Amino acid sequence: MVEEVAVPLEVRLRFGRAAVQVVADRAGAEILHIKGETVHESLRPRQMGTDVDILVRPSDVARLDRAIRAEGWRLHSSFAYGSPFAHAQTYIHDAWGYLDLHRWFPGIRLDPTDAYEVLARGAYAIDEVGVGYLVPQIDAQAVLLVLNAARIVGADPESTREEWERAPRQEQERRLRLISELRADVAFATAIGELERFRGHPEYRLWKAVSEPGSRSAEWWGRVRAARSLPDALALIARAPLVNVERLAHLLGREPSRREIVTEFLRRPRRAAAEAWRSLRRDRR
Amino acid sequence: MTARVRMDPVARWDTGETVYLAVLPGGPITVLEGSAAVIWRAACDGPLAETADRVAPQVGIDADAIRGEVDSLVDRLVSEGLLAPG
Repeated sequence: MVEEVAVPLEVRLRFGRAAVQVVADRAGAEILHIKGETVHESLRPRQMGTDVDILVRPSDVARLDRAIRAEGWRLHSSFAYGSPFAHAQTYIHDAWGYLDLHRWFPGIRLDPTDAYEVLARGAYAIDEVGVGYLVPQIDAQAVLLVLNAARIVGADPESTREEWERAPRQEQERRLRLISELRADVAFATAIGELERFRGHPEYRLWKAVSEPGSRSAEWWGRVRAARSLPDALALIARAPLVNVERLAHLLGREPSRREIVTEFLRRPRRAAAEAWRSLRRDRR
Repeated sequence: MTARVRMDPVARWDTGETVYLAVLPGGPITVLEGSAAVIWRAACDGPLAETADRVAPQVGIDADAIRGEVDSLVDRLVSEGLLAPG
Protein backbone atom coordinates (compact mmCIF):
# COMPACT_ATOMS: atom_id res chain seq x y z
CA MET A 1 0.00 0.00 0.00
CA VAL A 2 2.98 2.32 0.59
CA GLU A 3 5.82 2.51 -1.87
CA GLU A 4 8.54 4.87 -2.99
CA VAL A 5 8.32 5.56 -6.73
CA ALA A 6 9.41 8.18 -9.25
CA VAL A 7 7.51 11.41 -8.60
CA PRO A 8 6.50 14.24 -10.94
CA LEU A 9 9.09 16.96 -11.39
CA GLU A 10 6.70 19.62 -10.06
CA VAL A 11 6.47 17.77 -6.75
CA ARG A 12 10.19 17.12 -6.48
CA LEU A 13 11.05 20.76 -7.16
CA ARG A 14 8.49 22.12 -4.70
CA PHE A 15 9.66 19.73 -2.01
CA GLY A 16 13.26 20.61 -2.86
CA ARG A 17 12.52 24.30 -2.34
CA ALA A 18 10.89 23.53 0.99
CA ALA A 19 13.85 21.36 2.02
CA VAL A 20 16.36 24.10 1.22
CA GLN A 21 14.23 26.60 3.12
CA VAL A 22 14.20 24.36 6.21
CA VAL A 23 18.00 24.12 6.10
CA ALA A 24 18.37 27.88 5.55
CA ASP A 25 16.05 28.67 8.46
CA ARG A 26 17.95 26.35 10.78
CA ALA A 27 21.29 27.81 9.67
CA GLY A 28 20.02 31.38 10.02
CA ALA A 29 20.66 32.09 6.36
CA GLU A 30 18.43 34.49 4.44
CA ILE A 31 17.37 33.39 0.96
CA LEU A 32 14.99 34.35 -1.84
CA HIS A 33 13.57 31.75 -4.19
CA ILE A 34 13.81 32.72 -7.84
CA LYS A 35 12.98 31.45 -11.35
CA GLY A 36 10.99 28.38 -12.37
CA GLU A 37 7.61 27.86 -10.80
CA THR A 38 8.07 30.79 -8.40
CA VAL A 39 7.62 33.31 -11.23
CA HIS A 40 4.26 35.06 -10.92
CA GLU A 41 1.62 34.01 -13.44
CA SER A 42 1.09 37.61 -14.55
CA LEU A 43 4.62 37.60 -15.96
CA ARG A 44 4.67 34.23 -17.64
CA PRO A 45 2.50 31.12 -17.81
CA ARG A 46 3.37 28.78 -14.96
CA GLN A 47 6.53 26.99 -16.01
CA MET A 48 8.47 24.36 -14.12
CA GLY A 49 12.22 24.68 -14.16
CA THR A 50 14.52 21.71 -13.94
CA ASP A 51 16.22 22.74 -10.73
CA VAL A 52 15.77 24.88 -7.65
CA ASP A 53 17.25 28.40 -7.83
CA ILE A 54 17.86 30.53 -4.78
CA LEU A 55 19.54 33.89 -4.17
CA VAL A 56 21.40 34.02 -0.86
CA ARG A 57 22.24 37.09 1.17
CA PRO A 58 25.98 37.32 0.41
CA SER A 59 27.03 37.31 4.06
CA ASP A 60 25.11 34.03 4.55
CA VAL A 61 26.60 32.11 1.62
CA ALA A 62 29.33 30.31 3.60
CA ARG A 63 27.02 29.20 6.39
CA LEU A 64 24.35 27.98 3.98
CA ASP A 65 26.99 26.14 1.95
CA ARG A 66 28.14 24.31 5.10
CA ALA A 67 24.57 23.58 6.19
CA ILE A 68 23.32 22.13 2.92
CA ARG A 69 26.42 19.98 2.49
CA ALA A 70 25.80 18.58 5.96
CA GLU A 71 22.25 17.67 4.89
CA GLY A 72 23.14 15.63 1.82
CA TRP A 73 23.64 18.12 -1.01
CA ARG A 74 26.86 17.46 -2.93
CA LEU A 75 28.77 20.11 -4.84
CA HIS A 76 28.31 19.69 -8.60
CA SER A 77 30.06 22.82 -9.89
CA SER A 78 31.66 25.67 -7.97
CA PHE A 79 31.38 29.45 -8.26
CA ALA A 80 34.73 29.60 -10.03
CA TYR A 81 33.78 27.28 -12.86
CA GLY A 82 29.97 27.31 -12.94
CA SER A 83 29.57 30.17 -15.42
CA PRO A 84 31.49 33.14 -16.86
CA PHE A 85 29.91 35.27 -14.12
CA ALA A 86 31.03 33.03 -11.23
CA HIS A 87 27.67 33.82 -9.70
CA ALA A 88 26.23 30.43 -8.81
CA GLN A 89 27.24 27.15 -7.30
CA THR A 90 25.35 23.99 -8.22
CA TYR A 91 24.62 21.12 -5.84
CA ILE A 92 22.83 17.83 -6.28
CA HIS A 93 20.74 15.93 -3.75
CA ASP A 94 19.55 12.34 -4.08
CA ALA A 95 15.92 13.26 -3.35
CA TRP A 96 15.63 16.83 -4.66
CA GLY A 97 17.92 16.98 -7.68
CA TYR A 98 19.82 20.13 -8.63
CA LEU A 99 20.09 23.30 -6.58
CA ASP A 100 21.61 26.52 -7.96
CA LEU A 101 22.82 28.74 -5.15
CA HIS A 102 23.27 32.30 -6.45
CA ARG A 103 25.47 34.68 -4.52
CA TRP A 104 24.55 37.46 -6.93
CA PHE A 105 22.56 37.80 -10.12
CA PRO A 106 24.38 38.30 -13.45
CA GLY A 107 23.81 41.71 -14.95
CA ILE A 108 23.43 43.52 -11.63
CA ARG A 109 26.37 45.82 -10.96
CA LEU A 110 25.17 47.13 -7.61
CA ASP A 111 27.13 45.70 -4.67
CA PRO A 112 25.70 42.18 -4.09
CA THR A 113 24.66 42.85 -0.50
CA ASP A 114 22.88 46.07 -1.45
CA ALA A 115 21.32 44.31 -4.44
CA TYR A 116 20.00 41.57 -2.17
CA GLU A 117 18.37 44.22 0.01
CA VAL A 118 16.72 45.78 -3.04
CA LEU A 119 15.44 42.42 -4.30
CA ALA A 120 14.21 41.38 -0.85
CA ARG A 121 12.24 44.62 -0.48
CA GLY A 122 8.55 43.73 -0.66
CA ALA A 123 9.24 40.00 -1.03
CA TYR A 124 6.19 37.83 -0.42
CA ALA A 125 5.70 34.27 0.82
CA ILE A 126 4.61 31.22 -1.12
CA ASP A 127 3.50 28.14 0.80
CA GLU A 128 2.37 25.27 -1.38
CA VAL A 129 3.60 22.23 0.54
CA GLY A 130 3.47 23.26 4.18
CA VAL A 131 6.73 25.23 4.33
CA GLY A 132 6.70 28.87 3.28
CA TYR A 133 9.47 30.63 1.41
CA LEU A 134 10.03 34.15 0.11
CA VAL A 135 10.09 35.26 -3.52
CA PRO A 136 10.91 38.78 -4.80
CA GLN A 137 8.01 41.13 -5.46
CA ILE A 138 6.57 41.01 -8.97
CA ASP A 139 8.48 43.98 -10.43
CA ALA A 140 11.74 42.47 -9.19
CA GLN A 141 10.77 39.13 -10.72
CA ALA A 142 10.12 40.86 -14.05
CA VAL A 143 13.56 42.47 -13.91
CA LEU A 144 15.27 39.16 -13.08
CA LEU A 145 13.45 37.49 -15.97
CA VAL A 146 14.65 40.05 -18.49
CA LEU A 147 18.21 40.02 -17.10
CA ASN A 148 18.18 36.25 -17.36
CA ALA A 149 17.11 36.50 -21.01
CA ALA A 150 20.22 38.59 -21.68
CA ARG A 151 22.38 35.53 -21.01
CA ILE A 152 20.60 33.18 -23.37
CA VAL A 153 22.71 32.69 -26.47
CA GLY A 154 20.56 33.08 -29.55
CA ALA A 155 17.62 34.54 -27.59
CA ASP A 156 15.32 36.76 -29.64
CA PRO A 157 15.67 40.32 -28.27
CA GLU A 158 12.60 41.40 -30.24
CA SER A 159 10.33 38.98 -28.40
CA THR A 160 11.92 39.97 -25.07
CA ARG A 161 11.24 43.60 -25.89
CA GLU A 162 7.64 42.83 -26.88
CA GLU A 163 7.17 40.91 -23.64
CA TRP A 164 8.60 43.83 -21.68
CA GLU A 165 6.42 46.39 -23.46
CA ARG A 166 3.28 44.36 -22.90
CA ALA A 167 3.27 45.56 -19.29
CA PRO A 168 1.34 48.80 -18.58
CA ARG A 169 3.41 51.99 -18.82
CA GLN A 170 3.43 52.54 -15.04
CA GLU A 171 4.81 49.05 -14.43
CA GLN A 172 7.49 49.55 -17.06
CA GLU A 173 8.54 52.80 -15.41
CA ARG A 174 8.73 51.19 -11.97
CA ARG A 175 10.79 48.35 -13.38
CA LEU A 176 13.13 50.71 -15.22
CA ARG A 177 13.73 52.54 -11.94
CA LEU A 178 14.56 49.20 -10.36
CA ILE A 179 16.99 48.38 -13.18
CA SER A 180 18.64 51.74 -12.65
CA GLU A 181 18.85 51.19 -8.89
CA LEU A 182 20.40 47.75 -9.46
CA ARG A 183 22.77 49.23 -12.05
CA ALA A 184 21.67 46.59 -14.53
CA ASP A 185 21.27 48.80 -17.58
CA VAL A 186 23.85 47.03 -19.78
CA ALA A 187 22.33 43.58 -19.26
CA PHE A 188 18.86 45.04 -19.81
CA ALA A 189 19.99 46.64 -23.06
CA THR A 190 21.45 43.30 -24.14
CA ALA A 191 18.17 41.53 -23.47
CA ILE A 192 16.16 43.93 -25.63
CA GLY A 193 18.74 44.16 -28.42
CA GLU A 194 20.26 47.56 -27.61
CA LEU A 195 23.70 46.50 -26.40
CA GLU A 196 25.39 48.62 -29.07
CA ARG A 197 24.36 51.72 -27.09
CA PHE A 198 27.01 50.59 -24.57
CA ARG A 199 29.90 50.04 -26.94
CA GLY A 200 33.04 51.01 -24.99
CA HIS A 201 31.45 50.20 -21.63
CA PRO A 202 33.61 47.80 -19.51
CA GLU A 203 30.80 45.23 -19.64
CA TYR A 204 30.21 45.49 -23.39
CA ARG A 205 32.48 42.63 -24.46
CA LEU A 206 31.21 40.28 -21.78
CA TRP A 207 27.57 40.73 -22.79
CA LYS A 208 28.49 40.53 -26.44
CA ALA A 209 30.26 37.25 -25.74
CA VAL A 210 27.57 35.63 -23.62
CA SER A 211 24.62 36.70 -25.75
CA GLU A 212 26.04 35.72 -29.12
CA PRO A 213 27.56 32.45 -30.27
CA GLY A 214 31.31 32.87 -29.89
CA SER A 215 34.50 31.39 -28.63
CA ARG A 216 35.39 30.61 -25.03
CA SER A 217 38.37 32.95 -25.26
CA ALA A 218 36.06 35.85 -26.08
CA GLU A 219 33.96 34.99 -23.06
CA TRP A 220 37.01 34.95 -20.77
CA TRP A 221 38.32 38.19 -22.21
CA GLY A 222 34.89 39.75 -21.67
CA ARG A 223 34.94 38.58 -18.08
CA VAL A 224 38.33 40.14 -17.51
CA ARG A 225 37.18 43.45 -18.97
CA ALA A 226 34.06 43.46 -16.82
CA ALA A 227 35.77 42.42 -13.55
CA ARG A 228 34.79 44.67 -10.66
CA SER A 229 38.36 45.43 -9.59
CA LEU A 230 41.97 44.89 -10.61
CA PRO A 231 42.49 41.99 -8.13
CA ASP A 232 39.33 40.35 -9.53
CA ALA A 233 40.66 40.76 -13.05
CA LEU A 234 44.04 39.28 -12.13
CA ALA A 235 42.35 36.33 -10.42
CA LEU A 236 40.40 35.64 -13.59
CA ILE A 237 43.49 35.83 -15.72
CA ALA A 238 45.27 33.47 -13.35
CA ARG A 239 42.45 30.98 -13.49
CA ALA A 240 41.65 31.11 -17.19
CA PRO A 241 44.32 28.69 -18.39
CA LEU A 242 43.67 26.15 -15.63
CA VAL A 243 41.78 22.96 -16.27
CA ASN A 244 38.17 22.98 -15.10
CA VAL A 245 38.46 19.74 -13.18
CA GLU A 246 34.77 19.72 -12.26
CA ARG A 247 33.67 20.01 -15.89
CA LEU A 248 36.14 17.33 -16.91
CA ALA A 249 34.76 15.04 -14.22
CA HIS A 250 31.21 15.55 -15.51
CA LEU A 251 32.31 14.82 -19.07
CA LEU A 252 34.08 11.65 -18.00
CA GLY A 253 31.42 10.61 -15.53
CA ARG A 254 34.06 10.09 -12.82
CA GLU A 255 36.93 11.84 -11.11
CA PRO A 256 39.64 12.48 -13.72
CA SER A 257 43.04 10.95 -13.11
CA ARG A 258 46.12 13.12 -12.71
CA ARG A 259 47.19 12.05 -16.20
CA GLU A 260 43.85 13.10 -17.71
CA ILE A 261 44.09 16.51 -16.01
CA VAL A 262 47.60 16.98 -17.40
CA THR A 263 46.42 15.94 -20.87
CA GLU A 264 43.54 18.44 -20.70
CA PHE A 265 45.91 21.13 -19.43
CA LEU A 266 48.21 20.61 -22.39
CA ARG A 267 45.26 20.54 -24.79
CA ARG A 268 43.82 23.91 -23.67
CA PRO A 269 46.54 26.25 -24.94
CA ARG A 270 46.20 24.64 -28.37
CA ARG A 271 42.42 25.11 -28.26
CA ALA A 272 42.85 28.75 -27.16
CA ALA A 273 45.34 29.33 -29.95
CA ALA A 274 42.95 27.83 -32.48
CA GLU A 275 40.13 30.06 -31.23
CA ALA A 276 42.39 33.12 -31.45
CA TRP A 277 43.25 32.20 -35.03
CA ARG A 278 39.58 31.78 -35.99
CA SER A 279 38.74 35.10 -34.33
CA LEU A 280 41.54 36.82 -36.24
CA ARG A 281 40.28 35.43 -39.53
CA ARG A 282 36.72 36.55 -38.75
CA ASP A 283 37.96 40.08 -37.98
CA ARG A 284 39.81 40.26 -41.29
CA ARG A 285 36.75 39.38 -43.32
CA MET B 1 -5.25 13.31 20.42
CA THR B 2 -5.12 14.93 16.99
CA ALA B 3 -2.64 13.87 14.33
CA ARG B 4 0.05 16.51 13.93
CA VAL B 5 3.28 16.61 12.01
CA ARG B 6 6.29 15.98 14.22
CA MET B 7 9.21 18.30 14.91
CA ASP B 8 10.80 17.81 11.48
CA PRO B 9 8.46 19.49 9.02
CA VAL B 10 6.63 17.34 6.51
CA ALA B 11 6.10 18.55 2.95
CA ARG B 12 2.69 17.57 1.55
CA TRP B 13 1.23 17.70 -1.96
CA ASP B 14 -2.22 16.24 -2.50
CA THR B 15 -3.49 15.93 -6.07
CA GLY B 16 -6.84 14.53 -4.93
CA GLU B 17 -5.82 11.09 -6.12
CA THR B 18 -2.26 10.84 -4.89
CA VAL B 19 -0.58 12.22 -1.78
CA TYR B 20 3.14 12.96 -1.79
CA LEU B 21 4.89 13.33 1.56
CA ALA B 22 8.46 13.90 2.69
CA VAL B 23 10.15 14.60 5.97
CA LEU B 24 12.34 17.66 5.49
CA PRO B 25 15.02 18.34 4.78
CA GLY B 26 16.25 14.85 3.92
CA GLY B 27 13.31 13.06 2.27
CA PRO B 28 12.74 10.66 0.59
CA ILE B 29 9.35 11.27 -1.01
CA THR B 30 6.64 8.80 -0.07
CA VAL B 31 3.73 8.30 -2.45
CA LEU B 32 0.30 7.30 -1.15
CA GLU B 33 -2.33 6.25 -3.66
CA GLY B 34 -5.90 4.96 -3.46
CA SER B 35 -6.86 3.72 -0.02
CA ALA B 36 -3.48 4.77 1.43
CA ALA B 37 -4.23 8.39 0.51
CA VAL B 38 -7.74 8.12 2.01
CA ILE B 39 -6.28 6.74 5.24
CA TRP B 40 -3.63 9.48 5.49
CA ARG B 41 -6.24 12.22 5.07
CA ALA B 42 -8.47 10.59 7.68
CA ALA B 43 -5.51 10.25 10.06
CA CYS B 44 -4.88 14.00 9.79
CA ASP B 45 -8.49 14.74 10.71
CA GLY B 46 -8.58 13.50 14.29
CA PRO B 47 -7.23 11.02 16.85
CA LEU B 48 -5.04 8.39 15.20
CA ALA B 49 -6.69 5.58 17.16
CA GLU B 50 -10.02 6.39 15.49
CA THR B 51 -8.71 6.63 11.93
CA ALA B 52 -10.48 3.43 10.83
CA ASP B 53 -13.79 4.84 12.15
CA ARG B 54 -13.36 7.89 9.93
CA VAL B 55 -12.30 5.87 6.88
CA ALA B 56 -15.16 3.33 7.11
CA PRO B 57 -18.07 5.61 6.08
CA GLN B 58 -16.04 6.91 3.14
CA VAL B 59 -15.47 3.45 1.69
CA GLY B 60 -18.71 1.79 2.87
CA ILE B 61 -16.99 -0.95 4.85
CA ASP B 62 -17.41 -1.82 8.51
CA ALA B 63 -14.66 -0.16 10.57
CA ASP B 64 -13.70 -3.36 12.37
CA ALA B 65 -13.12 -5.10 9.04
CA ILE B 66 -10.39 -2.63 8.05
CA ARG B 67 -9.05 -1.56 11.46
CA GLY B 68 -6.02 -3.86 11.34
CA GLU B 69 -4.86 -2.64 7.91
CA VAL B 70 -5.59 0.99 8.69
CA ASP B 71 -3.77 0.93 12.03
CA SER B 72 -0.82 -0.82 10.42
CA LEU B 73 -0.45 1.93 7.81
CA VAL B 74 -0.90 4.66 10.43
CA ASP B 75 1.83 3.06 12.58
CA ARG B 76 4.14 2.96 9.60
CA LEU B 77 3.55 6.60 8.73
CA VAL B 78 4.21 7.56 12.36
CA SER B 79 7.44 5.53 12.46
CA GLU B 80 8.61 7.25 9.27
CA GLY B 81 7.92 10.69 10.72
CA LEU B 82 5.11 11.42 8.26
CA LEU B 83 2.50 11.57 11.02
CA ALA B 84 2.99 12.71 14.61
CA PRO B 85 2.09 10.13 17.23
CA GLY B 86 -1.15 11.06 18.89
